[in-house]
Amino acid sequence: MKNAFSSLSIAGLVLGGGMFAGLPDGARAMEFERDAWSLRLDLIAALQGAYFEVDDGPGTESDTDGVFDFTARATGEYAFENGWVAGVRVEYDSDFDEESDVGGGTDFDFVRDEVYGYLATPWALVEIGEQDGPADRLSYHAPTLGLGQIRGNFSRYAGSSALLSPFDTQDSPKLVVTSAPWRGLRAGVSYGADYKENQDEPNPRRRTIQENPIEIGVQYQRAVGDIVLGVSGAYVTADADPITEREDISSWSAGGEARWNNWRVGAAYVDRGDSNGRLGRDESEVNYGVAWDNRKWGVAASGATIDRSSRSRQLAAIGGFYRPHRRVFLRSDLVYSDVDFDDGRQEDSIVFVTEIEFRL
Amino acid sequence: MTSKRRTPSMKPAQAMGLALAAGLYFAWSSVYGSDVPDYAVNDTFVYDNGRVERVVAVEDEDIVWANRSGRQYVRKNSFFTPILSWESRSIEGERRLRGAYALWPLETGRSVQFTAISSITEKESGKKRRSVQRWQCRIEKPQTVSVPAGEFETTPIKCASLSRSTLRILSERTWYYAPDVGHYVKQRRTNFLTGVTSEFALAATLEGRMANSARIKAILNSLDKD
Repeated sequence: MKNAFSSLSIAGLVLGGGMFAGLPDGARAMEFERDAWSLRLDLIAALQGAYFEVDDGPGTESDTDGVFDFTARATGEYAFENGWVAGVRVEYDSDFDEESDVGGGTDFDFVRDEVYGYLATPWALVEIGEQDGPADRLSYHAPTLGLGQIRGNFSRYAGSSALLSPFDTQDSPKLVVTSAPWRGLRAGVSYGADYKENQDEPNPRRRTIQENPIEIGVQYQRAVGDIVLGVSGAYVTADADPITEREDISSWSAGGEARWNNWRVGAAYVDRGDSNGRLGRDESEVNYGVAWDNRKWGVAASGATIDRSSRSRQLAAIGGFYRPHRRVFLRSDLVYSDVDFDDGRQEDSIVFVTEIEFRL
Repeated sequence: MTSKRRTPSMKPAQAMGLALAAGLYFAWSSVYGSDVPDYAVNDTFVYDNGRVERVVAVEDEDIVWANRSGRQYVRKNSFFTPILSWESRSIEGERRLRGAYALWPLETGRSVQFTAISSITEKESGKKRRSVQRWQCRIEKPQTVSVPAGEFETTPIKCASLSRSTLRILSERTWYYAPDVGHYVKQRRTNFLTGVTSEFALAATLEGRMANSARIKAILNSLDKD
């Protein structure tokens, strides 16, 4: 068990959960609106538990684990008289990020996740700050209900997740300009500061420093009969600092999605290439999935095939959520991962992860 | 002696007034065109989902409508635009539209993007808040549409509602406008987030004295039976 998964956390969660669940279902306790101003606060606490088995050939190991997560998010907006909207969004949460924790650790940190300001006009959305770029935002791919399924929380315990969209610069600082839809077509571009990870790592080869990152995303969406169809394309490029001995980022994806009567089917092809890798990664991914979601509950199945120079990986997941109260979510995922190495070794893992989440 | 014929002449003020009137007429024509709906008091449209739209007053191009329960709201005679003022038990609202009426006359391919800025007042506390809606509308190719009230040649007006903050498409509505009826005969709505589509269609129209509550109720009862 992680040290953060303490009795104090559980006590706090139970106490907080009881308080949240006691609120009327339709209450909007944390939304404040006055004249042209609005402020929305979200406090999210979640208790997660997992059972996982890893079979790496010589033997099978199984274990249980758990994590307490907390997210605090604030969104403030001002609506101008001409209809333009300016806003600021700040999000802090408990962080689990394999790539940012030295040695691939799973430490509990409470860190800034996203901080950005935006201006929405009838023609374009301009955002500046630390947030995802258009390659992530505009890409269609396998739907991921529950706990993220193939790109979900299972990777906290065993295996690693799918990309779904191009390898990108995550929440590094950037300026993003995204057009309003024009007959269903949207396009976005971003340019940002250097994308850096693991800067405390003494070995520069374990750091990530990608300079001049540019992300481009294009999305087209329209209703055809009763079906809402969407296709997307995205590309990310950046120049690696030679000190890291990593490759430049050059990654793209193409995806599509169909929505009909609470059903969603999505798939994407992702070419990561050698992006941010060493020794020729040459990675590509196909992800696909189907989901049904009526906002009260939902189920989904998704899968991915990921090929890289020295191994191939299969991910298969089923999962879902149930919302017994507007402020309470129950989520579960079951994820199977099968890695086949070129030298004949094989590593299988299966992870069952479940969570109860309270929102205020 | 030669008589001088007086030529008709106008005083400058009269000329200016005439020019102003002509300007207003042409401005009106260019904005709304000739096929703009022409509503009269008591025009009533009953839809197969139980929706009732009844004209209770016409004030220039502002139309005061009443719904099935008698609650009133005001809308320009562009039926696809959001309502301009409304009132419920707890709030009252007013809305300004920027650039919404440039779709008239209805020609295929014509499009408009507009923003609706609402001021909503809570009656009890007097607190005000401002909300913003973003719309993109476009005229589609004419279609023949069959509804319970009959078959009509229509001009579809497709409008997408966008998120005020992210500009993503939230939903799309299509109004099928039948010039013969002078109003829309079908509305179709698709939620882009869920993929759920719904629609309702015209069941009957009433006008003048025929548009009385007993007759409206009878039509609604017959719809319930169906």
